[in-house]
Amino acid sequence: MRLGYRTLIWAAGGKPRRLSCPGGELAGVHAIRTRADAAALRDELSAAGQVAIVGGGYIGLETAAVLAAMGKAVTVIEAQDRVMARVAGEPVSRFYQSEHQSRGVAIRLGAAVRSLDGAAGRVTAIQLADGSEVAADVAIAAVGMEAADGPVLRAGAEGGRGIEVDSFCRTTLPDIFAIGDCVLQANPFAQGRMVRVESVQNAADQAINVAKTLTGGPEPYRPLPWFWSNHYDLRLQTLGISGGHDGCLVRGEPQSRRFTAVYLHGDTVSALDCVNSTKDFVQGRGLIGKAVPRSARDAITDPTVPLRDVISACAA
Amino acid sequence: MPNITVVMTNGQRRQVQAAARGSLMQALRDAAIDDLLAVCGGQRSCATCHVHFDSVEWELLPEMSDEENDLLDGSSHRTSTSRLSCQIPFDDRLAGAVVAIAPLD
Repeated sequence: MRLGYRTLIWAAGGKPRRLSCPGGELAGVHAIRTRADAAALRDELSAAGQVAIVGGGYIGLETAAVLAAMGKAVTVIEAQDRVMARVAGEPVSRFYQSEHQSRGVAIRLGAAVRSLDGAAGRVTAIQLADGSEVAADVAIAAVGMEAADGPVLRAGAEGGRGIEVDSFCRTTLPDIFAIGDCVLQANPFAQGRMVRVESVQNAADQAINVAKTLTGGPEPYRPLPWFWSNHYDLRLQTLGISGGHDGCLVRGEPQSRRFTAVYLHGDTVSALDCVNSTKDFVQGRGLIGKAVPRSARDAITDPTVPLRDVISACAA
Repeated sequence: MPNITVVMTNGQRRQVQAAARGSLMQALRDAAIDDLLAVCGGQRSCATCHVHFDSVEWELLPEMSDEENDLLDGSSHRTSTSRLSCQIPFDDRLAGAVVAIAPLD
């Protein structure tokens, strides 16, 4: 079938990255992106005692939390030296590591997957590069996604690991817009770096942005990124983009299970990770992009001082 | 399942009936009322399913949690009848209610 268009909006999302090592295609190896993926995993869980999760990011750890609560023996295998390394700072990573461990989740850091073993075509274990083995009735690849950008890039659009768009979500091809997880865009909340912001909020806001352009009210895209991730009874709510931060102030005691990490780029607040701290999530919007004078740092790290009072002490 | 009246952000009114058990947010979404973004899907993590109850048996609604209260505080459109629709079960207590979608912040 051939469909003509005057304007094309490419909103194709992406696919979960597969494990490329030997054994990655065995039965019992799952990924989680769609409802069907989750249903396929659920169908195999009743017969599974041991579950190995490759990847300690949001999806890997959220999955670990659900499976640990179901009573499964869960091992998370992470290549970096801390969990959530791409999306959070060190204090947040260490907090989540210890929370998961205290609920019985085994976490292997700095661990590279060499291969998956199988029997009768089904996964039985994961072999790590250090020679150790993790038994697995079910394995889950939680190692990020690949943008569904192929046809647009083959048509000549600029990009690679995502379709490049400008601040109006226009690709470099005429009359073709792209939005959502498949898009690379210079982001004002990431110091102008070209990033993929893989979130529901970003997909919805980019759709609104294109709709405004097409209906005659174009404005450059600059909504504040926000996200959430629930593990056990921990409610993480994020503002901004923490990647690239060079400083981190911790507001409240992580041991209290209620704290906020305030990320700095130079003297400027670039992001917040709010753990069980909805007030900070709500009031902290106004803090992103603000320069924090040295004199305001004590107030930021004092959880009894509301963030809205901190903001008035900071320059625009 | 009750019938409710929904007032959209452009002032238009629609009758909505829930097809399945769930929250008011889900019923509004299932009715394709797309001025309600409901970005987090009912995780009590955002405030994009904010509604105003123009008419309801107020004391029949479930009490507001601290988190819902904090999230609503972030909206410049909060009124004394504001709620997050993901926190309201769609059941007979809503019979005859008039619910207005709050403007986006």
